[in-house]
Amino acid sequence: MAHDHVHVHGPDCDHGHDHAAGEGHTHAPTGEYYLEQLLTLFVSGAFGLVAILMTRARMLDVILAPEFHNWVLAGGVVLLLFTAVRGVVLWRTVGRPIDCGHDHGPGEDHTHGNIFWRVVVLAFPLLLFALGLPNKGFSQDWVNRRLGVAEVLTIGDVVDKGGDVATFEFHDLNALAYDADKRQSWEGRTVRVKGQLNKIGDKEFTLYKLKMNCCAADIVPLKARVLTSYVPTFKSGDWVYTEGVLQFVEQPEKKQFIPVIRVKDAKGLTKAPAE
Amino acid sequence: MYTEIQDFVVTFTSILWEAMPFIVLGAVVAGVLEEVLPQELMGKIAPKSALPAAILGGLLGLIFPMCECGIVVVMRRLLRKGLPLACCTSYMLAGPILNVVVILSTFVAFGGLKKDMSAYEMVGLRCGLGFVVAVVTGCVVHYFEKKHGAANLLTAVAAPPKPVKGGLSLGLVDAPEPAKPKSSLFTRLGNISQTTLHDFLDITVFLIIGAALAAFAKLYIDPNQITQLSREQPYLAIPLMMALAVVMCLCSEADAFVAASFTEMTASSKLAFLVLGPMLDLKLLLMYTRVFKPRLIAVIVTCTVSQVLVYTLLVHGVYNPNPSAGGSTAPPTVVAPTPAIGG
Repeated sequence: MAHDHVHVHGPDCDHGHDHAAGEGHTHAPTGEYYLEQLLTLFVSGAFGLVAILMTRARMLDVILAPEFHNWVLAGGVVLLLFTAVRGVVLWRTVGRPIDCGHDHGPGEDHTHGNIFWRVVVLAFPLLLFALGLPNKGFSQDWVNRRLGVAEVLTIGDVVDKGGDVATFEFHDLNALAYDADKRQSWEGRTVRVKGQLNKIGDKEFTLYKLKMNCCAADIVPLKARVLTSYVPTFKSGDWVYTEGVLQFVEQPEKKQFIPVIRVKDAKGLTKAPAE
Repeated sequence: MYTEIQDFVVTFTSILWEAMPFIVLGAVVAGVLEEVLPQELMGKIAPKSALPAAILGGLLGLIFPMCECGIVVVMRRLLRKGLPLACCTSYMLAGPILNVVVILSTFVAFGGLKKDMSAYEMVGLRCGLGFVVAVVTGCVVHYFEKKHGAANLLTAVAAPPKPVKGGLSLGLVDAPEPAKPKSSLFTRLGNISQTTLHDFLDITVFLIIGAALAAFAKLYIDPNQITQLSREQPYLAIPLMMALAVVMCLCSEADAFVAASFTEMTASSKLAFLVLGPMLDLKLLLMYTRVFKPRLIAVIVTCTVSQVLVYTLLVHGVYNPNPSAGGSTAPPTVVAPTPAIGG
């Protein structure tokens, strides 16, 4: 049964939920109420501040696509603004009756105090930030798992068409493999592309780039194969510019083509800055 | 061990901080709705019977686009304002699929304007199935509401205010809301900020728990294994992709790109991934506990999972969309780049 009288909650009167503005009955504020409100302000403000600091410190680079960074920044600013407004309102309403925000049925017990265990949960991402995490992307083990076992490809010869070197973004190179006309047009041309190496053999590597659409949870590895005529010194995970003759090879069982780049000499595989 | 912690932190923080601005947005919308929307208005304008209410909810995302994280917060406020449960449920389920951003991202991910129509098929099937699943679930929820009463299905923070017997009412449609004293702008801003912060923290707690569970599960689940298993046991492809959608906790704006990257999977299994993911995943499941009681969550989960399974099996057996609807991991409108001289 709903009630709209002013009452004070004793220590045993648990509410089980939180209050929003403009709902239900009123009661006189207690110390616990103000503690809850202060914790709410503190945690909300901390989330806002951490969102801003993470954006400014470029910590989002490893977990979110660039177009989401401003969203996080805006979210942080909005949280801080609302925290400030709420803080001023709370300051000005000290001692006045509080709108409880819900109806009570007879014997309907619920607690006002469950903000405390929530603070513990909410503190976890804040704690990670305080520890400087995340400070790097996925581990090489994770990458290796996502790349899977490199398939054995039957790679025939390719005729070098010569001409200028075409510089590709990795996803553009990858897209060529899905189009028969483009495969035919580009096979034999010399291309240059930046990616990371994963060693298959002394002269054979997977060249990959982790493509993030929105966040690290949706990362998809884009792959190509690199064949060299010599034994390079690069390790798995190194960033390189790869320059060589392009061909496309069908992957067994998948009925798909993968780009293969044949590197002629050491000039075709050079160190690149990490992304 | 160290690398596992590192991978856990990357996945956990990426899910959390990607969702965070949209939960803030949802909480602000909820705060404004709470302050400016008269209590009786929703009851007056919303359809009374289940099917029209569920259909309206299913299409609401086209007008009020929200992703699956933000929509839970907004839906809860609409529920408190008297919007029928069937309508709110179908909005919550269909909204993250049937909105312009997600339609476009699905279209692009599955090949865009290529000649083979696979993108049109995938968009049409995703939106169509998403809508049907949401509307049917909305109607089933309505049936349970009639049987058990809203009070037994909704949490205290989601249930509309109870009417006052023999006096003024806060919740009844046919009783006028008591006149409130006119508030100053500052007071109204204060009320909006209070509701916004409350809703933000209330949902974020469960987002954190859900993101942590998903990040932990993802340490041990590899999409390559799913692909391999589906290749060996083709009949498992659809349920496996549904399970993957629940575990991966992807945003509906990005999930189509991930689905398209499963080039070896059947189109129907990708469809199951795309329809179920925005309706049900680990973080959403935890967030639902702030709106629905366990009984209603069980109804919604059973209803959505069983429908997605049956419908996608039907699609696979009867219609079988273009097998080449494999999509591409890259933008579809790739034009051969201008060669850079030298290099």
